[in-house]
Amino acid sequence: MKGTIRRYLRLTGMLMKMKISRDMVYSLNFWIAFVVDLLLFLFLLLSFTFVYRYTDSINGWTLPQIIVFMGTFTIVDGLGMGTWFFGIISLPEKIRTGALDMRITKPVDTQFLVSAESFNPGSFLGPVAGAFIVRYGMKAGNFALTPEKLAGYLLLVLMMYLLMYSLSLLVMTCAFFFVKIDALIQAEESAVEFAFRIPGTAFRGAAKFVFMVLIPYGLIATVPTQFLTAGLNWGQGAAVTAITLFFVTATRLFFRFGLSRYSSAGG
Amino acid sequence: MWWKKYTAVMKTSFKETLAYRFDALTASLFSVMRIWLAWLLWKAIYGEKEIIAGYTFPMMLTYYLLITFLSRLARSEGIVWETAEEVRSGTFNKYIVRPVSHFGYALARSAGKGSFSLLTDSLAFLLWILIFRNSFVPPVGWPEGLQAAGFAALGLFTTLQIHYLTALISFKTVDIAGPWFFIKNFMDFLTGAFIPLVLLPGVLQKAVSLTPFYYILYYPASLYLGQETEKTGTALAVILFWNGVFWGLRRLQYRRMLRFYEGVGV
Repeated sequence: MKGTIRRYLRLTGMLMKMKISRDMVYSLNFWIAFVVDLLLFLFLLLSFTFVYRYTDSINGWTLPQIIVFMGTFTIVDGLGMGTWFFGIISLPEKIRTGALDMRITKPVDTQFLVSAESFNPGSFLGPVAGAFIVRYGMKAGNFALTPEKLAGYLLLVLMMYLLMYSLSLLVMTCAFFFVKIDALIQAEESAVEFAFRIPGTAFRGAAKFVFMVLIPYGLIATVPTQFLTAGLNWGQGAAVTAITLFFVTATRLFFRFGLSRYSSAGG
Repeated sequence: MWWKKYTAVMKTSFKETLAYRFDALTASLFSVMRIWLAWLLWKAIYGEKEIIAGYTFPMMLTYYLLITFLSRLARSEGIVWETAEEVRSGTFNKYIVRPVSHFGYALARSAGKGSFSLLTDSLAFLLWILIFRNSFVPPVGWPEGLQAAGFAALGLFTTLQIHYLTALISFKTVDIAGPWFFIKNFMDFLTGAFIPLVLLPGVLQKAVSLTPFYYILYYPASLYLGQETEKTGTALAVILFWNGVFWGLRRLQYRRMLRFYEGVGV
């Protein structure tokens, strides 16, 4: 087990090194990805600032909480964009063209290879900027930051990173069964977009069940923010852990099932 | 009949979208989901309030319905990716050696795809209006409705010109994604796709009204809802002025960019 972990860490390092040297050829792209993410954050922050001129809170959340929320999403999203996003977004194409064949024959786990082969170093600046945004939001809202809170927050960010990865891979895995899944991908993109733009506290009734449990994009930035700025009770913490574990396991099983159905060149 | 080749492109693009009709229909249904999410967010923002910046809750939802519908009709985004791919692979040559305007081709292609979206999205949005009829506001009057439709058409053409100018960047850079998302983020904010521009502070709103973005989504929607702040004559002058600028810039850039193009791909 220890040996396997070491092997995969070494492999991750190698893939990362290769991608960085490749990206250095197009160094402008490295910065553009960062600037684009920052610009989106800026526009969303402006939008919420203008909305808050007309209201004091959105279902109990103040503007500083929204800033922490957006900073948290910037962190989770940046980590995802930097590690797995560009690998799995091209999975449908690899299945359709048969390019997955090469990955299957490698002596490593296919899900790992597909997910980790396209690092995007430029996106790692996002989490750095996100951390500053969270810090700014915490100061603006006078929220106390203790080492325990910070540790809990980082753990929740890691969980939400895994949840976001699982949800995205779950959608991409459908390409093993259908020729064209553009609409599903579009729906997934919309869900991610809204996970960034709508705080989970805005969801009520059936919508809360749909976006917090069934397709839990609503949890991604909301849970760590709620923990950091208002606290989570044990029940909520257990529910979030159970949901994350469920989706991570379900995605793994679904991917393996999809792979068993893969018939190469045209999938 | 110079336009015949373009109507042929339009028909082919329509048929191409039709071939993936299930996909297109699902995409239309998912776009309705955006309105539902706007409903959830704004419900929370309105709380007990009746009016925000002159908009009642049904007006706000109608605003999002209109801009989502218009955004779906603007199918010119594809030209950015297609041009980038053709330049990269060297297949852009076909537009240079044939008696066809690449912009005309882009226009016909967007019109073909947009017509299909018009059909499927009309169905999806009608369904939404039927279900949530209490949250839907009809146009303030027929003249305003017609004016809104006219400005929406002009807005679609402006969007195409902006997308086309973005596509031309692919002659200079291998990866178009960065510049594209940069421009897209700007457009999303300045066109009022994030929030209605009436929520912006007065000075900022005035500044945006001098740009073409103001008239792409926000202005037609505010005309429809009877909330417009700019006179139609002024609005028309501004958007026509910008379209003239883009027209000239586009022709100039196209000729300039062709000089960089080696025709062998990257």
